[in-house]
Amino acid sequence: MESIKDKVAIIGMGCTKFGENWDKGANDMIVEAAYEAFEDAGIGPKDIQAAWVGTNTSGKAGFCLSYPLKLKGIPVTRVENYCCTGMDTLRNAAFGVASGMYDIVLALGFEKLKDLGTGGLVGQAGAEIAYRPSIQAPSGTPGSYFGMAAITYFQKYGASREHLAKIAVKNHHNGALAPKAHFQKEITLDQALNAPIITWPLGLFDCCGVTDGAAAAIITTKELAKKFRPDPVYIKGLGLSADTMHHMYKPGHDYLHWDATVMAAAEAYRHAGITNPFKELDLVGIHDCFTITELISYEDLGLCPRGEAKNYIDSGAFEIGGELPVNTDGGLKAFGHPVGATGLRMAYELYKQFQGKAEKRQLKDPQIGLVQNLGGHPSVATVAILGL
Amino acid sequence: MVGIASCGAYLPVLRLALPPSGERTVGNYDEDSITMAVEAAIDCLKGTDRNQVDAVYFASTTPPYAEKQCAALIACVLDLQNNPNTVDFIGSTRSATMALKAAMDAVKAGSAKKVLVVAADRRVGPAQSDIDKTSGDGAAAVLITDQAPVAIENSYCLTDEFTFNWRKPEDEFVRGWEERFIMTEGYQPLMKKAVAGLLKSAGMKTADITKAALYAPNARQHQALVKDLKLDPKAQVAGGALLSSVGNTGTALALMMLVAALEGAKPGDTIVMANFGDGADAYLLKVKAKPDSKGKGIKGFLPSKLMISNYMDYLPLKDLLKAEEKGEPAGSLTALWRERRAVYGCNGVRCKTCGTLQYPIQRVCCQCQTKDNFELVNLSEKKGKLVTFTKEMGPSPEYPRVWSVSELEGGCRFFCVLADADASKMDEKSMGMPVEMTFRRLSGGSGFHNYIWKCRPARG
Repeated sequence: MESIKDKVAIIGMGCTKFGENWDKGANDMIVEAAYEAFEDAGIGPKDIQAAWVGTNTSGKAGFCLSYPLKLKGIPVTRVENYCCTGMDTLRNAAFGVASGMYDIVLALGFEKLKDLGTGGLVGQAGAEIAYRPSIQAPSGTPGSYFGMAAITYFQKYGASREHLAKIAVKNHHNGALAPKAHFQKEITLDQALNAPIITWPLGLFDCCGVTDGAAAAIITTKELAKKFRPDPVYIKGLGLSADTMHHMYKPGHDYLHWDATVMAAAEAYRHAGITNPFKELDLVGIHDCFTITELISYEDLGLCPRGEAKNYIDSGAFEIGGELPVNTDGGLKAFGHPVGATGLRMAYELYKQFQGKAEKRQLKDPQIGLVQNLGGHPSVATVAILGL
Repeated sequence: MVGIASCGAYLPVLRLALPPSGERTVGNYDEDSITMAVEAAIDCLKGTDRNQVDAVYFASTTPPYAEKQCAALIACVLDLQNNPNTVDFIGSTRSATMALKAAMDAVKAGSAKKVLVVAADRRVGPAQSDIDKTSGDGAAAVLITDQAPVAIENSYCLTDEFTFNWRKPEDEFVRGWEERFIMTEGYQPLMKKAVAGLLKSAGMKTADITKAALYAPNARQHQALVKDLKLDPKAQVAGGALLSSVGNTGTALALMMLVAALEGAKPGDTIVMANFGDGADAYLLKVKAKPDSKGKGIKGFLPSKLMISNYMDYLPLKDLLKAEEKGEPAGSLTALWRERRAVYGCNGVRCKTCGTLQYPIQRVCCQCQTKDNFELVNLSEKKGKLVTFTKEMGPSPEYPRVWSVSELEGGCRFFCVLADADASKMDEKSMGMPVEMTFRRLSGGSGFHNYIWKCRPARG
């Protein structure tokens, strides 16, 4: 099998303000994210030869991108892969360029959740969702899928709600430094621990918000990249894993890890030639839909040994200024989770960090980083490694 | 002689105080007459080869469908693969014993060998009405065969157009007429006439009865009838206590009282069961040996309970408190039909290559990837242990809602809202808690009832 390493580069990115964008429709956000990316790359919509658009529930078909951007009949593919939708959009666009078929492509992800009139993700709050045998989808809520791993992890490794709270405090601290974040306020450990319980043992600050947003990337070949800018960001590795069973039906599952992340990471590390991610990476974006997801993902990504996450949290290893900063822009905790946009929004943070444009969050000279997304029950994961 | 081979019952775990003293059972928000009938039927059939059952008679005044047979659904959920004949007996509290009579006749005529009679009710009256205050929810089942350990020697049936409870198709609640009138002109004289007719045809006297299982709408009327029949209330009555520990379970009550009587019976006992509704009927049973019942029965389900401390917590369970209207998620009858062996029949599959047991039914093994090399495994009676759970604080009839993953015997995992969970008592120590399977109603998406199997904390 081949590797994607250094075959394609990102030469422009855009990202809307994330939040309850009552006054903006999906099309407004698509135009804003795309045009920021065009401007950043120094190109216009006529330069795009093909496009990929990611959304979980806010649109269907490539038409939901070609229509607002008036892409004049170029090929556009819609991508959906649960919470990995945004990153898988980037991944498919990268492969489109790597195949030699296209020179300049657009990857754009978006989600418009706040038009639905519900507080949570799509689906009726409180409804015990009907079992849909045709797709063998169990009922349940995201809180239940991820919350069920907290109590098992606590029992096995002696971690506690306080470790989760520290992750929330860290990410909200970082989010307070990110002008495009939905939530830009610091919280205290006591606030996190004393907040109302949402899905025991997860409290309010253990959960990410429900948010609108869009993010976009312009991708080209390594040969062309430097013609557009001196500091393109190269794709070093891409991994995607789709699991065989919902974890709740998987015989023997220990509720201490998620196989999809482990497998997607192995693939991406193979591409990038990374063997010691904690030492070799300069920053990481983790899919912190819930704080327990971030905690377990530290271990699934091999950033620390099994059962050691609590010690790394206590030592501040993953804070800005720590050995390996995680979610420097505040992650899903601060940005919320417009599903189709999230992976691309996380790539946007790495891209800006590499180019030294991360303002108050700027790390010292980062060269290489990783973005992980985990979606479903959870049942799919993407891992992307980006760098200079 | 035709009779009862085995019997079973089901009482919901929830209980509400029944003034002035006593309790009544309350079906949870996800229980109805079909789900409770399934529970009682499984209880009754425990240890029996289900594929020998060749008819299912379901009796209820509260069938979840006005059109669409419930017995067929119950037979599918019971995973009966013998092409059983199915019939619903509805419209009267006496439907249970009319179904019993039909079962006896079918076995006597030789058209069936094993007939499952199951009665269940979940009757609802307006909040704080007499019906609301005296009704309990539950189910009972008997398996009727020839050469049974409990012989049904005689019966006496009496049809009489006497209306005491009724419900029009458009009515939400059961209605009732003045109790004094029902007692003096209906219940007491008709029940006495049926019992007297039975005894006369058998050439017996009241003193020959070991135990009498007598339907009654409430404890007061029961006591009055016992007195009128000159039965010894201490020695000769069975199941009367259910009226103050379970409540009036409608169609299910007479059979429940009979199950209670059989649980305490000895060989040689003579049991009289009498039922009421649009007439009355009475049955004479001779206990030759204890029936072959391996289930929990009344004695197993009665002490296993969770008290509802507050009437306000009870109201949403019976939909007596109108909550915010929510669109219900869509379901597909086509998909449900296609996957009925998994969704209704509770079948998982075991890979014949590597032995991995998995749910729902798969085409390709999740372990070894072998295609189409499975055997069906019925999971409905598998014991399990809680693997993990969360407590969700969203708006729902039960608060909080416990989402759970359990491991069933054989290593298969099952994910569901844990039914009948006492969430307030669940914490880290609940891991490994024993669970068992229960058949419940989900939402009514697309206008039909969406039924599913769940796990619940093990009972009894």
